Amino acid sequence: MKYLFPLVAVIVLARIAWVGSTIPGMQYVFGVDVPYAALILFIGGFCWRVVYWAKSPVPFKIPTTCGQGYSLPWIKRNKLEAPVNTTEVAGRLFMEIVFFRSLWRNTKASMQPGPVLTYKSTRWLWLFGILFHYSMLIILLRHLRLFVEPVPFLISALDALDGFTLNPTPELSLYVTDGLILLGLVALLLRRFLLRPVRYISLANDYFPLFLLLGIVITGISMRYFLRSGVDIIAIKRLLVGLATFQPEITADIAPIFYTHLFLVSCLLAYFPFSKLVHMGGVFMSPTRDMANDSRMKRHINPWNPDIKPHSYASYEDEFRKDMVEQGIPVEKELPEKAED
Amino acid sequence: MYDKGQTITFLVIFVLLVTFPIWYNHGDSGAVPTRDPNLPQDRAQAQEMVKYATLPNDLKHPPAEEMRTIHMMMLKTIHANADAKLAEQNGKKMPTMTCFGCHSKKEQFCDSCHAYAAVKTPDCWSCHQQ
Ligand code: HEC
Ligand code: HEC
Ligand code: HEC
Repeated sequence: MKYLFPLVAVIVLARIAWVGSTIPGMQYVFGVDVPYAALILFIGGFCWRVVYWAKSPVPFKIPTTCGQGYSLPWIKRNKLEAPVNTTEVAGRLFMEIVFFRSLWRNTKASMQPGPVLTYKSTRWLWLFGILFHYSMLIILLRHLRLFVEPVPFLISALDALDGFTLNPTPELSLYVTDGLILLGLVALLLRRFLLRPVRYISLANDYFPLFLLLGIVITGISMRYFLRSGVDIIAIKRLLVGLATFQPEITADIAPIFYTHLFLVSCLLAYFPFSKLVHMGGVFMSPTRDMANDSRMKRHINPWNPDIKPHSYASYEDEFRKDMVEQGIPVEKELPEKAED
Repeated sequence: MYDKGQTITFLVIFVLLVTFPIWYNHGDSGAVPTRDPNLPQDRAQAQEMVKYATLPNDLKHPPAEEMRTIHMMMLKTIHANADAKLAEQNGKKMPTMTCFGCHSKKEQFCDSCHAYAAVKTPDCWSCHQQ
């Protein structure tokens, strides 16, 4: 039932925008005010989050290693899984961010008759994660065609590549990533529904981003392929370029589905820095990933260690000599002779 | 803040990436495609004219607002049997092309609008006569 509240929340948000944008005068709110507010929250929240992380001390050297560390010269070491310097850490982070390496390494433990404990690699999460994230990246870049004028060659080339068609006759091209992102999202959602251990640990804030992203994808796909009427790309681009140049203008009646799509995207942007989605920045800031495994080469000083001054025995005795002599405790240096009165 | 230099660099790169459209456009929103000069500027007249478009399968040419959003769907319907027709034609080109009877040249009409929306227009002239 933990999925019910997020599902209802997304439906309500979509409904608000759908109905709201049909009220005369509200188009400006949904088309201009809300996106600006969301963008400010996104950038501000993201920076706040990263600075907050950067302020947290890391008391210990805690990289998670999963390979042979640096040792004696004849022992072959694993540079990516137990990096000892910045270059190797960068290599590891690169593999993590670009290829989701730690998901690739995912294994599943099971008991076979015997009983024998066996580990098998399961890469479904990796596959659907890659499908979703890369489709999302391409879709984001593709959308730039609606925000910039003139459109840079790379963007239109990417658009053409994504929407390639083998059909020589004119038609609306079908974007490959539209299908792939839907596949990825549905699979990631089904994973939470169908796998019992995952369902058990899934919370509302795991379901909400998935439903929100699905809402965005569904409104986007239906707007492009099915509910085209009233989706005037020229007026939409004019509004979006206007947003990017701080002179927004709504020149035509744009269909409510567009405002719904835009509103859900705004919700995603505003929600982003305060949710799990901020792993986008977090991956760069997590000590288990971005520290070198060099605790035997460099001393890691705990930044919150108090500043304790050394106190040698000699200075200790200097401080308490009088009392020590009085109590009969042996001292290394006697009290100075008292001058005769 | 620990690792101040790195963190600030990271954030600056992030903000620059996110605000790409803002500094790329640098306040210039560009020219919006204008109405085809071949068409009557008077909307009532234009909507009257549209009724005379003879499209296959009794397709109707809707007014501009509608046509902007669905012309690609219409072109797809029009070409539903194109392959069979082309085979029948035996390599000859399709003679007619009603669209440009009323609209000005493809480069002026279709392409100027598509350049703004960054849409790639298929080449009509590989099958149709100019
Ligand atoms: C009988 C003449 C005629 C024919 C044939 C015709 N059109 Fe049109 N078209 C018009 C008129 C007139 C308008 C403007 C309608 C209005 O203002 O409401 C128009 C508008 C349009 C628009 C919208 C332009 C804008 O600036 O918003 C598009 C797109 C379009 N036509 C595509 C086509 C295509 C594709 C074909 C061929 C399948 C075609 N037309 C055939 C007369 C015609
Ligand atoms: C008023 C602007 C406008 C005019 C004029 C116009 N188009 Fe389009 N056309 C568009 C937009 C916007 C799209 C993209 C819609 C989208 O991306 O959802 C498009 C898409 C298309 C597509 C689908 C392309 C793809 O790869 O998805 C075809 C085919 C097409 N137009 C043909 C034509 C032809 C032929 C003409 C000239 C007779 C024409 N258009 C005139 C605005 C226009
Ligand atoms: C692959 C070849 C091919 C291409 C490319 C092509 N057409 Fe056609 N077109 C045909 C064929 C074949 C027919 C006849 C279809 C029929 O009669 O069933 C046709 C018919 C038409 C018709 C209806 C007949 C008429 O002349 O009124 C229109 C309009 C049309 N095409 C417009 C276009 C436009 C605009 C483009 C470019 C964006 C285009 N076509 C590109 C093959 C093509």
